[in-house]
Amino acid sequence: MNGSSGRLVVGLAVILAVAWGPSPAASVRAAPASSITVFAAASLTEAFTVLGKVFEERVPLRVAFNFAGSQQLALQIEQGAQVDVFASADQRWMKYLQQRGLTLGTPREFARNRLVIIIPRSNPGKITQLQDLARPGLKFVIEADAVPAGRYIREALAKLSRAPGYGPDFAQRVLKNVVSEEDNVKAVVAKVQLGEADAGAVYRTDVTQAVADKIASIDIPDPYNVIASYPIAIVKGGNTGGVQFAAMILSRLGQQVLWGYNFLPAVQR
Amino acid sequence: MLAAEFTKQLGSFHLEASVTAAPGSTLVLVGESGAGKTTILNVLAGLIHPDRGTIRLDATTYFASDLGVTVPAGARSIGYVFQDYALFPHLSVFENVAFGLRAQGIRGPAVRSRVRESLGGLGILALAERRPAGLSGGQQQRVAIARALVLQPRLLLLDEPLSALDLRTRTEVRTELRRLLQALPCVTLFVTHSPLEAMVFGDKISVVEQGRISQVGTRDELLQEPRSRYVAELMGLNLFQGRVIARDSGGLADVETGEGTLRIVHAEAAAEIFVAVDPRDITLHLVAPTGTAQNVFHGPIAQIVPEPPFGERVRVLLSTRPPLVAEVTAHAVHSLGLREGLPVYATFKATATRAYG
Amino acid sequence: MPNRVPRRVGVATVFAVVAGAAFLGFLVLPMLGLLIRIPPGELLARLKNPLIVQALRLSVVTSLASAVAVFVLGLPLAYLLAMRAFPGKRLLEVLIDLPMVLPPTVAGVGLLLAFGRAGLAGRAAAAVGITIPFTTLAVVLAQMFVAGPFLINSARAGFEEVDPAYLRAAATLRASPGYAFFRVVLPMSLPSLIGGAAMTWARALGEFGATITFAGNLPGRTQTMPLAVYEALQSDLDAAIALSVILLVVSFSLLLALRSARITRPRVG
Repeated sequence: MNGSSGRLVVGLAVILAVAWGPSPAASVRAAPASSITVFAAASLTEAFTVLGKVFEERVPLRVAFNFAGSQQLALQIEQGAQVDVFASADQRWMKYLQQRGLTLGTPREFARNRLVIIIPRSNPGKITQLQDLARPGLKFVIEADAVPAGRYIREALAKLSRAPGYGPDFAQRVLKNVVSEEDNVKAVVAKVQLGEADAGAVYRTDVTQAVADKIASIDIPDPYNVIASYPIAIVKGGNTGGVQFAAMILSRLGQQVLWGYNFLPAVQR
Repeated sequence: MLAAEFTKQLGSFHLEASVTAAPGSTLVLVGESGAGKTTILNVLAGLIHPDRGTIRLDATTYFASDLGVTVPAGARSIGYVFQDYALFPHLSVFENVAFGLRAQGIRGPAVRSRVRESLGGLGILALAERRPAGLSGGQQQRVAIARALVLQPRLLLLDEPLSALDLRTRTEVRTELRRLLQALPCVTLFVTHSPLEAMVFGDKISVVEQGRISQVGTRDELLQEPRSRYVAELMGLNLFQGRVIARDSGGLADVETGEGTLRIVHAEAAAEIFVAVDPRDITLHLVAPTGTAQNVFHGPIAQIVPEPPFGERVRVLLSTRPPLVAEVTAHAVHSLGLREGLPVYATFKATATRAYG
Repeated sequence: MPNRVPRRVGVATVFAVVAGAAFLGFLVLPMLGLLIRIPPGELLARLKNPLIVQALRLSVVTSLASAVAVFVLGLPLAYLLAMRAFPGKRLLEVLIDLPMVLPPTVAGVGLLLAFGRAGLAGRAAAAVGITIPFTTLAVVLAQMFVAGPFLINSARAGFEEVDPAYLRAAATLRASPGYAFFRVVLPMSLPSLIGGAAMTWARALGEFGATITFAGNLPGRTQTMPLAVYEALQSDLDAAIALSVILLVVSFSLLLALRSARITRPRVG
C-alpha cells in the first residue's frame, strides 16, 4: 500500500491497541480482579490445588498458585510480588512478613503437620528403625535450615538426642550423614523417590498417593516429633477475592479436604 | 628413476597418466588449468591414491594396485613445493625448514646444521629467524624450496613455483631456479601452464590435456613433431592433420585437412599425416601474390597479437581455410596497414611445411 | 575557510548507536545494581566467612577442572567433526548441541537417571562401591555436561579454519597425523580454542540447575557459589547480594585475564 494509507492503518491500530489492550498497572488493584494469586508452602501442593478448583467453581475468580519453600515465598512477597494470600508452613516466616507490615489482620492457623522419615521402597540403606539414621555412610537428604521443614527436622533430631536409646550425639551423627540440603520438601521427595537418597525428612502429608508406591515411611514418635503450625494471612495490597479464599480454607470444607490429605486439624477454631 | 603409470577417477574427471623421469633430470608437466597436472603431482606425492596402477621410485614401490601396496605420503622420499608455498605462518623460517626433520624425530645439532646448510645453499641464511609473513614472494619461494630439499628427497615436486611471483621477480628467479634444479641429483617434476617455462626448465616435457598425456618429448621433439593442436599451439606452430589425396612426381603432395588443402613436400607413403608450418614462414600480402609459393590462402585477419616482451614480433591470426597463424614484425604490420577484419593473402612454400606420420 | 561537506548521519547509524547503547545499558545495569548495594568494606568482611570461602573455592576448582576435562576429552571429537565426513555426522552434531538448549534442571534429571545409583551407568559404578550423586565429582560432571558443547563447537570452528594446504604440506614433510595436529593445527587454531575455553569455563562457573539436581546442595562438598547465592536468597537478601558481587568480581577478573592473554592468529604474508 502507498505511504499515506499505510500510516493511517498503523495509526488506527495503535489507537485500538491502547483502548482495548491491557491497561498500565495503576488500575489493576482498584477494579474488581478476575483472578487471585496464592503463595503456599510446597507441602500444601496437592490439597490446595484441589481446593483451588472448588473455589473457582463457587466464585467467579481464577486462582493462580505458587508452591515453594515458605522462606522463598516470604522473600518474594517482601520484594513486592503481587500476592493476595500467603499460607506458610511455619509461624516464623509469617511473623517475618507481619513485622514488615506486609500482612492484613491477624494470621490464623489453618492446619498442622507432622514430620516423617521416608525411604525408598527398595530400601538401599537397609533402614528398619530411626536409630539407623545415625549409621555412618548413610545418605540422608533434608531441607536447608531456612526452610520450615529444615528447621523442624533439626528440632526433632535434637529432641531424639535426649530420648533414651538414641544417645546424646544422635543429632550430630545423623547430621553428618546429610548429603544435600534442598530448598523445599518436594525436592527431598524427588531424591528419595529416585532412589538416590537412603532417607529423607518431609511431612506426613508429602507421602501422597502418587509417590506411595516408591516410598515407605518411618514415623517419628509423637513426644519427639515436631508439630508444624500452618498460618494463613491476607497479604497487604491484595483484593477481596483473597479474603474469600482464606475464608474457604478455614471453613469446614477446607478443613475436611486438608484432613483428607493427612493434615492435622488446626488447634484454634 | 621414477616410473609411474596410473588411472584416477575424480567425479567426472578421468585421469590416466604415465610418467617416467631419470634422476638428475627435470620433467615438466605442462597444460591448461584443470588438465590434471597438479593431480598427477598429488598422486605421486601420495596425497591422493590412484584407482589402479603402479608408482615406483628407484627400487621402492610406492603404489601397486595389483599387490595392494600403498605407501602414505609421510613415508615417501619426496619434497613438495606448493603453488602458494604453504609456509607455516606460526613458525620462523628456520623452524619451517626444520619441520620435516623434526617430524622424523631428528633432534638438536643435526637439525641445526642441516637447516643452516639448506638455507645457506639458497642464500637465505639471514632470514632464519624471520616469519614467513614478512618475506617477499621470492624469499618465500626459496624457503619453500629449502624446506623441501633439506629432506634430501629422491623425488622433488614443484607445483607452478613461479606463478605466485610478480612478472619482474619471475624473470629474475627463472634463471637461478633453472641452475639450481639442474644441479640436483633427484628426479624433479615441474608443473606449469606456461610454454616458456616448459621450454626453459624441461629436459623433457610432458603435455597434459584433459586428464591424458598427449605427448612426451624433449623441446626439440615437440617443436619438430607436435602431435596435437594444443602442443603445436604451445610450441607456437601451425599444425594440421589430414589425408594425402594426390601426389606428383616432383615429390609434392596434396593434403586434405577437412578445413582446406595444403601443398606439401612429402616423401613417405603414409596416407594419414601431420603437417606443421612455422608462423615465421608465412608471408602476408594485400593483393594476390605472384611468387612461387604453392600454398596461397585468402581471408580476413581475426586478431593481431604482439608477442611479449616488447611486441617486436607480432602474431597475426587469420580466418582462412584452414585457419593460420603468421608471425611478422611490428614494422610489417605498420607498413602493410594490417588491422582486424582486413582481408589478406597468406602464402607459404611447400618446403616450409614439415610432414610426419 | 575550508569547505566542509556536511556529513549526513544515516538512519542506520542512528539506530545502531541507540540500539547498541540501550543493549549495553541493559547488560550493565544489573551488575551496577549489585555493585552499588554493598559497600566494599562489608564485602571484604563477608569474604572472611568460611562458608563463603568454601563455596568460592569449590566453584573455582570445579569449574577449572571441568574446563580442563572438556578440553582434553572434547578436542579429539572436535577434530573428527572438523576433518571427516561420516554417516550420522549430522546426528552427532545435534546431540552435541542438545546440552546447550536443554534446561539445566532437565539436564540434572538426565544425569541422575544415567549416573545415579539406580542409573543406566551408575548402577555398574555402584556395584563397585562408587556413587556419583552428592559428590564433588557430580558437580564437575554437571558442569562438563552443560558447558562441553561450547568448547567442542568453538574448537571445531577453529580447526576448520586451518587451511587444508598446511595439512597437505605437513604430510609431505613426513609428519604423522598426530604430529601435524600438535604442531600445525593446534597452534594455528589457538585463538579459537582459548576463546572456547573461556566460554566453557564461564558457563561451568555459573552452572546451577543441573548441579543442584544432580549433585545436591551441601556446603563444602557441592555448594558452589551459584547454589550458595540461591540459598542465601531464601533467608538473607544482603548476604545473597554480597555473594553475587564476589562471584561477579571473580568472573570479571578471570575473563579479563583470559582475553588479555589472547594470542593473535598467525597471519600469512
